Amino acid sequence: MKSKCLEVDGISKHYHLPKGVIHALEEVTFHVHEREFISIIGPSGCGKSTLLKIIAGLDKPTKGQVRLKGEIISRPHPRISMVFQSFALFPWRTVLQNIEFGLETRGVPKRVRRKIAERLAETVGLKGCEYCYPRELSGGMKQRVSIARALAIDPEVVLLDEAFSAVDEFTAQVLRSEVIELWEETEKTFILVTHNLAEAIEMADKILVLTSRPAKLKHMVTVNLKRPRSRHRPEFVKLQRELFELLKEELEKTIIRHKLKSIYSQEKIDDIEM
Amino acid sequence: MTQTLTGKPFKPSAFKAYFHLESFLFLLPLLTIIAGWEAALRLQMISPTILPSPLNVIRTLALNITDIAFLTLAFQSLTILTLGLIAAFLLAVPLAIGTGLKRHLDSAFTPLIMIFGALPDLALLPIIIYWFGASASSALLMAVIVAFFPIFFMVREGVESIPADQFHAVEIYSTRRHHLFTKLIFPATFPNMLAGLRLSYEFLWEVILATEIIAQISGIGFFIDASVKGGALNEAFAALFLIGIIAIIVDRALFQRLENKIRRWRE
Repeated sequence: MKSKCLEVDGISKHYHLPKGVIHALEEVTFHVHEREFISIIGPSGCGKSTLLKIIAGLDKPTKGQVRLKGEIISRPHPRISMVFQSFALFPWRTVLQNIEFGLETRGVPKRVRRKIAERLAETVGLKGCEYCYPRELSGGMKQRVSIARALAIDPEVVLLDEAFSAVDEFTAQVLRSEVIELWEETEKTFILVTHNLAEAIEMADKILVLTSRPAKLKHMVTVNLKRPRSRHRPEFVKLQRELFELLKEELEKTIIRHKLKSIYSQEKIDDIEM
Repeated sequence: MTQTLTGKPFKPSAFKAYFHLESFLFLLPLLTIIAGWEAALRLQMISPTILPSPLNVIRTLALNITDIAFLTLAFQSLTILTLGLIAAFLLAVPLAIGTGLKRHLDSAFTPLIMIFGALPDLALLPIIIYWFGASASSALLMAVIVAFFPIFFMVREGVESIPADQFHAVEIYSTRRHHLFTKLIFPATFPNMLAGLRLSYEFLWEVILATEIIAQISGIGFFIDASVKGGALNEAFAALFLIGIIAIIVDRALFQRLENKIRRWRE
């Protein structure tokens, strides 16, 4: 039996704005086992990134709690790291200095953290660029630095927020297979938020489908395909079509709401939403 | 990329800035102007009572440079400039970071600072002199006021332009709050601090000299004014040359040096 690593328990997030309350997340509950790769998909703007921020401890839920091995997360946890869509590297730090950032803030001695950073730079394919600055790197290379930085602190959970959306498709494809390899080697838990269905199916053991706002858990799919997963296999295509249907329902809801918005005034729509 | 034996990258840009011939190219037009100026006087196109000979000016400067009284005047102005710059920096940076980070602080302070910043600085001089007299402290207060605004606006802009995800990254990878300042805000806004200091430094020369001349406060500006009034044009120009030399030394030795440090990761 695998043990539960991360528990997301009845998470709701409401934003109080002058014109009313926005319900971003509503009673989202799921758990993630150790060494599992899960993916969260949902229509754009549904609150999947908000959910990830709450798991990361960057944002507080209105209701509910997130637990890492039983420990309630109320602020960023030292064993949870994150890879950002925008890379979020520090431009004044070299590749190695960026990778060792999390170790530096923890007071790991310089020689030790340098060694870890050098090894990770090699693992993610940055050998020869150790002393480059982020502006000298391509998007794919930047994301490799960000991934190495996330692994450097030896986390339990790695959160990936649309991590492959800001690079070109070819680079994204290479990065995806590299991340899968890293995940298999490092035996850590990965959570990927994405709007890319094929990406989710290719990478994840389990896919959580969220509804449009307020985001609830609509569906959970276990992906039982052997890795490496080819996008052309009939099972892959079938699963992609099923997930697409699920998402389409949600997208249509948003589209109808957008159409209504053009008919009614802003306030009335907000009443409907509440 | 070229690698040195130690594995550290070789930085051609920094090397160039220090030792390359290019950094002395400014001497060429400068010497041409001085030569043309000297020639105009020799050919009696300009009367020496209007414009002194540059060679005479250099000679006067060489004589005066060993004169303690003359140097003291220059140092008085430079000291006020430096103290004003430091005090303004210490005031402006915390305020800029505060208003750049917190919206309610921004709403409370920034409009006020903008109004004061829009005032012509020298308009305050009569009031300051009325309060504090024609003294070094009046000049220092003027210096602080003048230097404050460029540093404040530059640093505030720098804080505001830090992407939200970089803040998130610091929060994710560090549990200590002071790291937000030491590991993010200071290094991220360092180029803005430098740009602000440089701007302020240039304004300060003008305003401090104007203050000395208008209020007759002891300093190199006062010396220029007194020399011209006393008919000693040589001395006035010698003082101007000295200011030019100090300005270029500070610019090369301090500002350009620091800018070279950040050039590689910026642009």
